[in-house]
Amino acid sequence: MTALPTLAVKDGVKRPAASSGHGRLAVAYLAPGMLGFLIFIVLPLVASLVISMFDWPLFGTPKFVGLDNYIRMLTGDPVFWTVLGNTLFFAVCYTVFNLVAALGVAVWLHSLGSWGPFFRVLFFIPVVTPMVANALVWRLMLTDDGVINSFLATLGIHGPSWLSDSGLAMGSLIAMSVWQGIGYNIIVLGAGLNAISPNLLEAARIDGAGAWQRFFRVVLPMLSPSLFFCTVMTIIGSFKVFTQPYLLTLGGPGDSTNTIVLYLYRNGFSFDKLGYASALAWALFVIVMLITALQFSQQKRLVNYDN
Amino acid sequence: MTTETLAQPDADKRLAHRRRTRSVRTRRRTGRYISRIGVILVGLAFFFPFIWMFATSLKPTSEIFSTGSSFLASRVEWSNYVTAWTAIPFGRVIINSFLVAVLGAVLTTVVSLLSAYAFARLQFKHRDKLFLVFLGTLVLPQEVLVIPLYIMMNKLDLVNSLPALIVPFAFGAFGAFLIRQFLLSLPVEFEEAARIDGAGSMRILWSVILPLVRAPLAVVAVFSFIDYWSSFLWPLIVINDVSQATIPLGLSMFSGERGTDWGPLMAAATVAVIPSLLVVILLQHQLVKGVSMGGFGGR
Amino acid sequence: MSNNRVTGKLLTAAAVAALAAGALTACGSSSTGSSSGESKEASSMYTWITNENDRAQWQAFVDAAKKKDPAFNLTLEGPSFNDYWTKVKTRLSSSGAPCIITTQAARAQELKDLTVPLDDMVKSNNMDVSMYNKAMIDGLTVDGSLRGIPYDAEPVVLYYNKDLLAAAGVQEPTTNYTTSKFAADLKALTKDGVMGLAVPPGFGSGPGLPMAFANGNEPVKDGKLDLTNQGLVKDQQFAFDLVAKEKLGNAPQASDGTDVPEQQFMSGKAAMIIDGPWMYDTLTTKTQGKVGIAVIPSTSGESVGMIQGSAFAIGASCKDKEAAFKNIMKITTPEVIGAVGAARGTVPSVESAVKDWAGTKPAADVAVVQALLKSGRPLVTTPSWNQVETNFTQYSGEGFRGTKTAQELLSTIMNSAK
Repeated sequence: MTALPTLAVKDGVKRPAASSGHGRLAVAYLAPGMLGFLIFIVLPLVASLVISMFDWPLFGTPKFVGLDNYIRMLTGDPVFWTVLGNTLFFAVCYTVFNLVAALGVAVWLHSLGSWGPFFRVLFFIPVVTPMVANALVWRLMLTDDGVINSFLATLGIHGPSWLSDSGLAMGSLIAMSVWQGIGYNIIVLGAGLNAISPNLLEAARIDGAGAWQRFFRVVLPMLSPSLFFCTVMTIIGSFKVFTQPYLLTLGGPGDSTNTIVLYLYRNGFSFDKLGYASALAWALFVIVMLITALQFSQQKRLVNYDN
Repeated sequence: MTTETLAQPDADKRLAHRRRTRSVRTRRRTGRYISRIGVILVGLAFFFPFIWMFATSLKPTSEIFSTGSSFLASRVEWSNYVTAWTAIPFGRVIINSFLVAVLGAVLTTVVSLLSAYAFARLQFKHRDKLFLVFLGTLVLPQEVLVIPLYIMMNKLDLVNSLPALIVPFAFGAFGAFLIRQFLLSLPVEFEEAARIDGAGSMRILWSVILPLVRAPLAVVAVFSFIDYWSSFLWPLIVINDVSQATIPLGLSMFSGERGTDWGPLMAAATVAVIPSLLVVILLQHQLVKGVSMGGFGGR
Repeated sequence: MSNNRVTGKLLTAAAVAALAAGALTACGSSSTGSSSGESKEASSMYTWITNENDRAQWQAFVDAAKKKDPAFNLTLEGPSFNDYWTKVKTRLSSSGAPCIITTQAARAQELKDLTVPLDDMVKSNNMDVSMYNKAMIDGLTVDGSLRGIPYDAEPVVLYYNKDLLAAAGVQEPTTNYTTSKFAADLKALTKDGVMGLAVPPGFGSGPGLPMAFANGNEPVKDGKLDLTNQGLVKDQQFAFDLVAKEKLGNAPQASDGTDVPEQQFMSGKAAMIIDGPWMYDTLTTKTQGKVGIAVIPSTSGESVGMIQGSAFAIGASCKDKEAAFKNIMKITTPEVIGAVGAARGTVPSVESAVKDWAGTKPAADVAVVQALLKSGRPLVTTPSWNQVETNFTQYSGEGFRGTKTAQELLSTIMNSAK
């Protein structure tokens, strides 16, 4: 099972050499999956490139405008760059906090023995509850006179405006998102920890390695495939952030928590600019692909696969 | 190492070791207690938003923003649950959510199994290349596709229908990838034997493969269920009427011309969280296995 | 083994699956009510209906219309009020769309491609449009043609908590209120954990725009956005300063909507709030303390009302416009509008029906609303108004905190919402 997070395509298994191949049979089996793939993934991807060349309203006739949407996005719309910066900031902070905390908690729970699995599942709960419900209750908790500030007030601290101070709003979103998403990585890393043989750690202990040394020299390298997988998936996921700003801050104050998917949604479905929104979608696509390619190009250097 | 240490009598050494381990043990034991108390506190803090959600669901709407840190308002308002049920057709919304999540999970699982079988067991031209392209969709954000998909649904006259919520997102690569990896780890001997006995490939898939891949199938089903269950952006785009809404969209519909009913809204949120809690409690093995198998992630 | 047979079986299976999907599709779309005759669409309405209040409001229309025509009925569908202005466009571009849609004077420009001119039908059905509030009719007139029949005309007013005013020794304002007196009163009221003013983050709902209207400054000129005119900027800055500099109210956060400030007012934590008369019943009954209303303060004390209101219109995709118009006529008679005003507290768009709304309300309060109705101007907007509102809500936190000026915010919004 642990080999899975490598996202390997080539399998090592020798297949029976079929003399003729299974062309027609394969067509039948693949038909539903590949048709769906073509119709609902490939076609829309191409179509969105076409749509991005139009001035396309929700109601009415589209008008061809060439590259105007892209020109406007790159040169005429300062909000685009703000939104892009916010999204990158969110992605980096969210991924770092999420992974560091998840690693810490996973190691902690691993040391708890029989209590570990219960808490692992507890931390997983927000991952599977609807994001909308989670975001709504956080919005109540973080409001100026909400439970968090009231609690701080009993300690004599005057709590800040978590959602309307432009310096704090993004931090609040990141905190809420880490709470929501951390359980997933705790489980992946927990499984990675379980797979490390205790003999290896014992051998390191006998060799005189202290706890920190054992962690950095043995545990971390052994975990690197899981960590790499978590990083890739967490970063990709963080670029899609939408529900949190949509419900908690509406992108404000100013544009300080406006993200690329929120901006895309609003341009398309509130401001009636489907063409411009498609240009934004392509920007998102290109960025995610670049970052994924970058990560995979570093995979060999960062990840230790010889168990 | 010096000669003296080597010369030390064995008995002494053993005694010293035992003493040391005993003190280490007591230290470890206190450490474990502290650790356990710590994890209980952290766990409680972590679960607190759900407790607060429930507490808020029992407050009258007019007091929700003024009760501060108190769990109780001037009275306990169970009627919020009744209002939540009648204000929007919440029963209908829950049924919609289940329909979408169950049918979506079934469709995803079936399609994934067929593709996975072809990619793992059949020989055809450009197989690995095709699979690589297909796999690329693992990292493709669905958000990139929502605008063309919306226009497509509009042209097909499917806007505001449950199929529009189900069909477009059943063809991702995750399920096929997961099942294929699992299949590759299985020996082909059983299938060979069945084939020699004269079974066709459909038979083999049904009676030989299916029982073997139950575990990854369950994982795919559970995860696509959760994905459909929590999805918000797409329903927000494609559904125009409260009668076709799923739960996340329904929750965002508690606001009217004259403001939001926060009490009933939190009651509805509490109700919406319960199925997810049940899924976690009843299916924790599948979930943990699924995630550690490299299930979908990073939401 | 026979691959062909298996392939055949699989294809059959695929065909069955496709049929099943088709059936699912059919039942999915039929549930939106597309298949049957046109009369059904002519008597169905797309509107905001997800909230108990909203539902009760539309029911009041149906109930009142039934008194005259027992067979009358309306089929309703729609999303929440917040999503409505987005959804109505997508709904009307798909099939089986309802013929009647709800609109507002403030959105008439934005929805102009979705609605049809009503002038010919008004004439052929001998409808007397002159009985409706002039400001509303002006607001609903786009490019010279009428796009909706209004059912309410609601001038935004200033609510105050009489008990808190008495405690602070502040005289109750009436139909004449200057901004300097207003600022001084708020200062006197802000003490002991009570704020002078409760402030929502929105543009139309916030204190800035109604105060600009009171001074005769409007956000749209000749059909174009004019957010940076000196008067509007000055009045908006005045509203920002009340909160940012004078600390006479809590700075709102973007997601507050109108709920949080209204609750501040109702729980006695704020002494005044600027809000629509549609909140009259809620605010007078649920507030801790007695509540009165006054005109929006202006520099001179003479206040121009900012009139908001909703109307029924006919969707551009409607096939049986005549039948739809007949149904609209049934729910916009003075009797129906008056009955809804009495039952739901909406201020009737017909002057003769205002007495039904007034009912047992204090004469002073009725006088305030009537004065504002007379002087009032409609909130006329542009097609990009949704973007203006969205951006203002998102940005206003910075204005109320004093990190950005009204000039900066309004010109940013104007540039992006062109």
